[in-house]
Amino acid sequence: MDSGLYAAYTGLMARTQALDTAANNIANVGTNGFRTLRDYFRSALVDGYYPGSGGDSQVGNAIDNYGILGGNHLDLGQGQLQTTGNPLDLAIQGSGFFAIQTAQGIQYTRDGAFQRSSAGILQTSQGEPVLDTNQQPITIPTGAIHIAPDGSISVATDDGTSAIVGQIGAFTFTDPSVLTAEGTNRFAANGAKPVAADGAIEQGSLEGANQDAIHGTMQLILVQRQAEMMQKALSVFNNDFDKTAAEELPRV
Amino acid sequence: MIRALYTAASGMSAQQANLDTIANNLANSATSGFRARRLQFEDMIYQNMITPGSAQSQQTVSAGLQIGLGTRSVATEMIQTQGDFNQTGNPLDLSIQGAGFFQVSRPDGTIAYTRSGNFHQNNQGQIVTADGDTLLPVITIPSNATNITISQYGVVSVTLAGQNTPTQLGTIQLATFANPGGLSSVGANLFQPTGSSGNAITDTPGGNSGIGTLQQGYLENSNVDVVEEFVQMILAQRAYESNSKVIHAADDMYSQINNMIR
Repeated sequence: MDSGLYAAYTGLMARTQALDTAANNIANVGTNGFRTLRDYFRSALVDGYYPGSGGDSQVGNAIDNYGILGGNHLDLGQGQLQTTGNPLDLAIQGSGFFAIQTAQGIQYTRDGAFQRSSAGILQTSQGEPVLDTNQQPITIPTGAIHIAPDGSISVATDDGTSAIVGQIGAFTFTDPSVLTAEGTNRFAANGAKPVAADGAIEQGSLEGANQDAIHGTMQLILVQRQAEMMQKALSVFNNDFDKTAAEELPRV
Repeated sequence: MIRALYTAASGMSAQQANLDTIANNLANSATSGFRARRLQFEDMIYQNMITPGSAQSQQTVSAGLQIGLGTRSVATEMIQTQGDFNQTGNPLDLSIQGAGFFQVSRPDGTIAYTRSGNFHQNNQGQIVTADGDTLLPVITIPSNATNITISQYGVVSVTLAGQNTPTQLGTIQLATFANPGGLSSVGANLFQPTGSSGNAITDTPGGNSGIGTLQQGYLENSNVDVVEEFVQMILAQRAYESNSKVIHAADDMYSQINNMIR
């Protein structure tokens, strides 16, 4: 049947998947360190019409080029910082991720709402240790905590002196596209080696999601309108062409 | 598309919980010693449609296709900033300049911790909270005492009738925790320790690093920043609205598809 019908159909399918991504981006506008997923569409040529193959034809290439959802990538842009005043709320200004030790190995996050465990270990709200520049857990003694932009933690002791007790690591990747979102604000590196990041750690702030509700709604409207167009095209094929073919032609 | 509906619903319920937290903060903006809480969210698991780096016919895919399934609330973080001090002049109003907590004994015998320092005397002369929980260690003020003085290091002294020199009655002790954010709020301005907060470390005021000193005649206000809460409230409301728009859009697309067949 008409390949245009399938082109419109795959286009509509792709938009329904894109709606899911838009919905997830909007649902997470309040999630600390959330990184928006951006969809991209790509064309898929139907087999047999590749140039040089048996059925090569320019017309075929043009009409059998379907738009499908090719994939999505993480937008690693900066989210807005919100001041909380808590000494263990950390945000990274610039590139980089905090490394945390999880049951699934070392994972990475931009959500810096950390706590000190009863044993003094710096950990996430899920209780997983936050790692230093050598990817080891950090123990913080009691006292007033100051964290420098390079991640050095100094604790003021009783006699008024302060000592550096560790350095929180910020890591990035030469190819950040290896990162996959794992949920619970974490990303897995899938075996890629981290390198030290140049982002500055800000104490007393948390980083929000990097897409606000306005951009989310715009993305939503775009997807909705594109879906409408595909649906219109489908209805043209269904009602104007195929119906005509099925009902009018036999009368001749 | 069904995913989009559930995703948006998760966003709406998360924002609803956020608004509940903000409402409680605002309701307690005049509660002395209250600690504001902020709801934290995290993203839910992702459905992997195409794994990044997986082999295709000719080359590996550079970016995968992951579809997220929404958000959920994970924790209410306690904001640990110091509240403003309010001068009252009442000799039994105490505020802590530092991270410590007062220890009080509840009627069931358990010890609870509070930042609210508006103390009173009960009919036996003991220093108690407004709810009648005794301040620990128990300090009894004799009925013939005048001129109650509490030093910044917690020493309680009074002048007894007919005497010129003040008499020391005892020393107030404060408690700190390894992780004060892990304390559980039990209402009536009280906190109880949990496995996450660790056990109380007690010391006299001015001792153990960061425990703080006392200020007599002052009360610590709630650390809720009303302006900040209003901003958060607007954000929560708008985020809720955006999520409801998603439901609307998904419903719209669904009905269009249903209407394709006439």
